[in-house]
Amino acid sequence: MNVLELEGIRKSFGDLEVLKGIDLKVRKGEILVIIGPSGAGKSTLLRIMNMLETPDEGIVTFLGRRLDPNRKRLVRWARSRMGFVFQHFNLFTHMTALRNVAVGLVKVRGMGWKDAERIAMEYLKKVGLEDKAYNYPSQLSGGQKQRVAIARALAMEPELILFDEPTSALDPSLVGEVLDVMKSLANEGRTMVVVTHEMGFAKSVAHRIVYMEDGEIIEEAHPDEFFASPKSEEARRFVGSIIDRML
Amino acid sequence: MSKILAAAGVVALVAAMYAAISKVYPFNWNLVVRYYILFMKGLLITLKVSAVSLVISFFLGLIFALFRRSHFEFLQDLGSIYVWFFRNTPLLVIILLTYYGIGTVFQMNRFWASVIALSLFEGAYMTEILRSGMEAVDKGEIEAARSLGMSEFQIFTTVIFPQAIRISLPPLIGQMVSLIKDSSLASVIALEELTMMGRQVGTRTLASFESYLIVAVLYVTITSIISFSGRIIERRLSLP
Amino acid sequence: MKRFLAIAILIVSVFTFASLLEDIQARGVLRIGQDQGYMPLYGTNEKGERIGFEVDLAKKMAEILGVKVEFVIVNWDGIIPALISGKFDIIFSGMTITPERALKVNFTIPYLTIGQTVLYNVKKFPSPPKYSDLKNMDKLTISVQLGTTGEFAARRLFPNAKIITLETMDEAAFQVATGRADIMVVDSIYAQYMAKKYPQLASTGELLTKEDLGIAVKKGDLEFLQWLNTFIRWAKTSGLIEELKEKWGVEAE
Repeated sequence: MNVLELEGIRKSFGDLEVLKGIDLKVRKGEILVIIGPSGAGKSTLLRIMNMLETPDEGIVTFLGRRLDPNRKRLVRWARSRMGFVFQHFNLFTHMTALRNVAVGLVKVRGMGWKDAERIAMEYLKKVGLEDKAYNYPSQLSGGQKQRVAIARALAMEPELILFDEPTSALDPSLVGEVLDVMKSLANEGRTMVVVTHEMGFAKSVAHRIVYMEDGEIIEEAHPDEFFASPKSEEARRFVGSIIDRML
Repeated sequence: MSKILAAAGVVALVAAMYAAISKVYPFNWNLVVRYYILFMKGLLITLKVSAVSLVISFFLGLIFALFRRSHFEFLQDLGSIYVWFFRNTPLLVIILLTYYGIGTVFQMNRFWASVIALSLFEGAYMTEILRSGMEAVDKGEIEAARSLGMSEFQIFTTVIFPQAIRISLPPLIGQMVSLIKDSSLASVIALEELTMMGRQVGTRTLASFESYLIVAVLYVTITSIISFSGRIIERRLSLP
Repeated sequence: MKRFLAIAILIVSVFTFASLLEDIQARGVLRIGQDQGYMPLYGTNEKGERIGFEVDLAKKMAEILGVKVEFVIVNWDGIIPALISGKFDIIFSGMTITPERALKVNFTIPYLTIGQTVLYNVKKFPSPPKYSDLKNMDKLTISVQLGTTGEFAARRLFPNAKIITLETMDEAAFQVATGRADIMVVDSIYAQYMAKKYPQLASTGELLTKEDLGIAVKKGDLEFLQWLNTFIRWAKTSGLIEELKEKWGVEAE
């Protein structure tokens, strides 16, 4: 069953064509990792998946429903069933960690704060931060903030979780704790699309690698295949440039 | 320690000036202190006008700030025109326009004419303060709220407004102080607020210096209390 | 420090005690302090020129002194402080002689005697209201000019009324004309002038008080005061004042 389908997605920002016709399908339980050089359009593609950006051409289908930017309620429904984890965490700075995780349940699912906070606490436990429940984002480290952001996304019990370079803004020492959480989510069988530069993670966790360059999908393959023997010229160049650092 | 010295220095300076002036202008406090009830009445009216205008101007500011941030060009233009007109016209003129102009058509009394004039005028400044506050909220947080599936209204009430208010609080308090001071201009349409009372007592007793000094001290006291309270509220609301 | 200050003030006061009379002739200009307008005593015409009964009298004064005349316009409620701080030489502005004011300034002998009367709107009062009726009226609103004997008379004679104080005579009269005030308590001369000019305004003619108008000068300049008194006495006996009264339609003693 396809959780998400992208057909013929094109997007330009002004004169710059960022996506030149993307087709992509995401199956339930699949873990997709999108990699490629900067400027390839990876983040834009991810943001189109939950309609943070609207495509100039092309169709986005989520859980069998076509997402039309003019049908606002449909789009909001789709977003509430997808989780999005940002590179810069984007926690609500005026709320405690607990409230950050609970607020979606209250505002979008219509729950009461008490119930929502109870559930939120469970998810904070899941990411190992129940003791920071009443701290504000300014009191948390980058890694902790990102884990709270993941808990916030999880609390909505999404069918699909999108990760936009979740560790790129972190100190190297803090990357591990976030990747560990993501790995445990993968082990639970969640459907995830991750844009990342963490090749170690990609190799060990992904079901499928999607390699993008210059607004197009150049190659898609199982990670073992992709990293051992990339088929395309561009992918080979890319893997070659990073292979030393991966080992 | 240095603050106490500075305060003592100021007090000494004021005392010296007072002594010097007294030699040329004999202060006659008795004449004026007798009218303390009038000063209190005036102060009450000043506070009333300011309080009502504050509330109305805040809502005007909120509405027009939202207009200026709206996707509809028409609302944007409306907001811009409002701010442009009232920030470029002197308050005195607006008061006269409201009372003698529109006020005659609608038979407005002095209090409401003053309130409307003051609210429209200060509302324009509130608009800009609130708008800046709203713009200052991190766009990333707005995207996160969107990604959770919140509606634009929910995003405003949950993410934008609470933060915008915190950010805007210092300039808002400043605006409150301005409002109280600006309300003194209502004396030109004979509203019996504090400044008007000062003028009446001053002319009745011919001790205008003493009278206006008292009025000034009262204004400074009120605005200082407000600024001080504002700082306390800021501290309470600030996030760790 | 105290002694130095006292000596400094003494020196300054010695200089200010030289008579203004000489100063005025030396500088060639007589400066008259007035507020915006109190027709027919003084006011500004469409061309922006100063006209009126007192303006003509002042011009005659200047002619005799051999100087030019300059009118300094200030707000009525600040006119005495302005005189004391030397912004002009005399207040010649329809000012009533009162003992309270005499504590701050010196007055000449009176050049006119008037009384406060009631200016009203014929729409509100089809027939002229008497003081005895007005005094007990419920919710009476009276407009006056701030700081005038009209204001003081109104407060004294109408203790239950609401008194609205405006900066100029015309603004106060405007309140009555637009129905925002029931009556205005003001000098009889002004009331007659307004009643003649505007059909909706009328004057009861009932004099509530009797007041002398005088010129005010800074205290302590007896020489100048004496000259002004001489001028006024001459203006009366020579018929100049009667002539001007006729010219400007001033009905007063």
